[in-house]
Amino acid sequence: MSNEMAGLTGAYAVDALTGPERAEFEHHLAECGECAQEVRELREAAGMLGVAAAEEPPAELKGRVLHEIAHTRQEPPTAQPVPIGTRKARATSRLATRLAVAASVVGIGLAAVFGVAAWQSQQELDQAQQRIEQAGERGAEMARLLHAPDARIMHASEGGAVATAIVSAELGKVVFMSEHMPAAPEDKVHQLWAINEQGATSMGVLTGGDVPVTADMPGDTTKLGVTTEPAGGSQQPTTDPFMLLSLRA
Amino acid sequence: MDDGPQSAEPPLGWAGQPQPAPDARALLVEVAKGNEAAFEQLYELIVRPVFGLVRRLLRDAAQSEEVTQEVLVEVWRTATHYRPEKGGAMTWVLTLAHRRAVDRVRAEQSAADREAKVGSRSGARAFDEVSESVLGRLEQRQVRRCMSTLTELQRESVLLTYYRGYTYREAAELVGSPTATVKTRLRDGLIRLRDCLGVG
Ligand SMILES: [Zn+2]
Repeated sequence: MSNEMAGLTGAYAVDALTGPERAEFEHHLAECGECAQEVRELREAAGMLGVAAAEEPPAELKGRVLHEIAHTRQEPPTAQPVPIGTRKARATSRLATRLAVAASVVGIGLAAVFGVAAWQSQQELDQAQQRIEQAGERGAEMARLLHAPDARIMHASEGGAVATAIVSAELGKVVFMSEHMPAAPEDKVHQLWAINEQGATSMGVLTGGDVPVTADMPGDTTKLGVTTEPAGGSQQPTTDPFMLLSLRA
Repeated sequence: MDDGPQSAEPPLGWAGQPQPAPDARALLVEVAKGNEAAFEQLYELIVRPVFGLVRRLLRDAAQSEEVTQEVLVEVWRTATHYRPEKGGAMTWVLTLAHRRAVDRVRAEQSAADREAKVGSRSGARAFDEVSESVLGRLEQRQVRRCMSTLTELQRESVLLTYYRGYTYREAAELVGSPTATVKTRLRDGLIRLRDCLGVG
């Protein structure tokens, strides 16, 4: 219990903690039975508000769900459960999956680059594979990048979206992958920018669907940014980046 | 929520079902063994609360349906991690649903956007809107009664975070109170709700 942490049980129970504060609290939860118990109880109370909000869903939903579960493999019971609330870690591990798949698609081992990758389910693996395959011939470029001696991997997250970039300054290339990137509004696109002290250089428009993008990167790039732009993209960003990925750790 | 067989009284929240509720906990344990028939039974127990909660958070009907489907499939997929001794099945499912819906709403709408949709920066207004569209439709008299035992700031803090997906910092800004105050009221409010409902 103790300290300031105990005051955060309520906020945590209703997913009202974000960022470092949540990470810190989860760290505390792992070793404080008292707070863990209180979180369980407060979730149960909050759950009653969920029950109270019950609403009839569209009738066709059931068929779709039953069809999907019939084709979805369950996680093995022995697997370490994903700790509740570690959204970022979870999303990141999905990216790890996709990187692992990318590597296997292009025929290289990834362990040296990314360490151990674990997938959440066969379905996710299949989806990842599909997306990487959509990346098509860029696969070879990705492989070169993953092989580069100075290849580095960076993550950023914003809201529920997570971005990963594999960068090689030596090759002047970057692979950019997103996960749960919200779709751009109608008539808009997301555009990726290399940012340095002089300004921003377009690295291309993201095609959506979280398809990985490989692009040339100016040598003095310090950040990658994603903005929302009018359809077709812009010469220079017209909005502030909603996601920024710093290349200088 | 205690949906276990050991509950002496019919569980709360199963409106219009005076008879003992089907045992979600036992069903979820069955689902973890890959039992599709058990899942179908469990589906009937959980789909309305899941959809209703997701809908409160996302508002958009199509998106809500999509997220509801994701959540239900995730229930199937991760049922193997459910630990019955750690809590009720409905709580487990709704915790999952809440988290997914909040993820989605934060990914797609900034707090400012959500606020703009409500049409007012005023916390009071936001609360009226929440209480009309949500609390006003609560069928569970007990939940309503228990919510009414909360102070106004406790209630606002709980509703803005749970039903609207605001962080406690965003909620503080909306109601115009210091973040430390809202953090405390949020916890106090949930504790009061817990004690009043007799859960936990
Ligand atoms: Zn503690």
